[in-house]
Amino acid sequence: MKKVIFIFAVCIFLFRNLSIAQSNLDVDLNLISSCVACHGPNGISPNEDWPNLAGQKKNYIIIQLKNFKQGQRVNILMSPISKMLNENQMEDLANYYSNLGLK
Amino acid sequence: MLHIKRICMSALLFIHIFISTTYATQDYAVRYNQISCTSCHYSPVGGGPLKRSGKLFQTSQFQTTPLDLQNYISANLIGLAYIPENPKTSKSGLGLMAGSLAAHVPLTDRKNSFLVIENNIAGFALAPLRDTYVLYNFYKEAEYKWFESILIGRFRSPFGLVSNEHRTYTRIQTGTRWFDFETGVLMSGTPNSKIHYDLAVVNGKNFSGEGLNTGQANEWGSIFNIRIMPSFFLLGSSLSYYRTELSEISHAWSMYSVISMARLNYKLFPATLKLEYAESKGFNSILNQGNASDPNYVTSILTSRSQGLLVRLDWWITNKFTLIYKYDWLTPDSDYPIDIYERHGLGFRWNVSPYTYLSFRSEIGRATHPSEKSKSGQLAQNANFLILEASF
Repeated sequence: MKKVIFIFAVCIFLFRNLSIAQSNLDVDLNLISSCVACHGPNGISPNEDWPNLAGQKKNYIIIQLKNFKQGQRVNILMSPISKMLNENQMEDLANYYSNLGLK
Repeated sequence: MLHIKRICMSALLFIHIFISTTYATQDYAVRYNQISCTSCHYSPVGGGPLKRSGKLFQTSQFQTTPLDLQNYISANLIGLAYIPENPKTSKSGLGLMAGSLAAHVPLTDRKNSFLVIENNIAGFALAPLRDTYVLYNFYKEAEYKWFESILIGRFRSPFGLVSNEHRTYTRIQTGTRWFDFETGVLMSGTPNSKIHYDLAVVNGKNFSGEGLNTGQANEWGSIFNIRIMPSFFLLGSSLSYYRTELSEISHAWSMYSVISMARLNYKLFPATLKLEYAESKGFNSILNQGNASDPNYVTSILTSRSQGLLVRLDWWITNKFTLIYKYDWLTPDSDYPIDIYERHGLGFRWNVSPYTYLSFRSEIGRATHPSEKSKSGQLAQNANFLILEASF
């Protein structure tokens, strides 16, 4: 068992840099990682059904996140995710995505 | 051990050469605060055909959009290469685990009720008829209600940690493997974003679904599952109870947890830890399906109480590549705790394309009962396996 755990630990150590290397984002990775899964690290959605967030108006993003959280807007994926966020985090995310399009 | 080292070194080299972008595998529920499986699946139990939202999520790291046809039709193919320590005395080789087609159509304009039919037309032919039911949702999607949906038909057991890995001991000992289905009525509810429950009343335990078995009307069972997700972790418990006039009562319970360490600190711990402890009575006959080496040993413990443990760590190296460590432990007879089955597994899961993934595992098995010296059963043997799954 010790050998298996040792091999697993070595693998994690070797490849840990892969997940960190891609985290060259100007925002808390812990926060943004929930959004990246669907809206992409650059705010460009990988499919036709989900919206791009890059360059979106800051206030619009905040209002929509609040609407999801309060149930005024309903989406089966977004509604539960928005409940993880407080107002400061919403603002940080909105700042990040609204500035992406300007870079 | 040298063999394991070679495999690991090859895997490491392979990753360095081919993997560049990222994706996560399973365990989305806790990571993305989804208490209900219906965020992605039609069935409240999870597994089976995916909704459009689930198909979108599945492909989200790839530039593609599901076809409109995929709103109504799903297909799934699972190929397996299984190389155990003793391939001459145990199941081994290349095979198709499953090849299923599913249709899922709304029954009303409001799209709150669905007919789902999933038929396994290829593979190992266990449970040819799979998720096949009429589902009625009392409320709209993403609304939290005590009485959310009712499902009538065949469905996966809402018991423990849902897994598509058929060698998970906690699934074997409780009769809730990926190809074990129940027939009956399932009621589910999600009163708020932190609690979900399932309650099922079933008849004819785990039959194949293609005909009525003799004496089946005398069999009935009930399954209750509840889980709470207060924060970055999920806690759940399941109970099952089966009664028949013809044979012994069987029952099982499970306590499980899913801990999303990524929600705490994604940068340091992009991982999910899953834990499950289960006890059961009356399911040990499953050990005779190629699992244990000696049928006589299994016969002697048919009505024994078993204890099992699952520990699994999924570490997201990238969003498309996950390293997996899995530990299974089983005591088939709790009166003789010295007789155990134990398995350490190390491997990976790699999402190759929007609808395809590869999974590899190298496992070290151990069994202490004297009858396992021959190591002809699957549970006691070291083994390597590769799975290729494609879904549409």
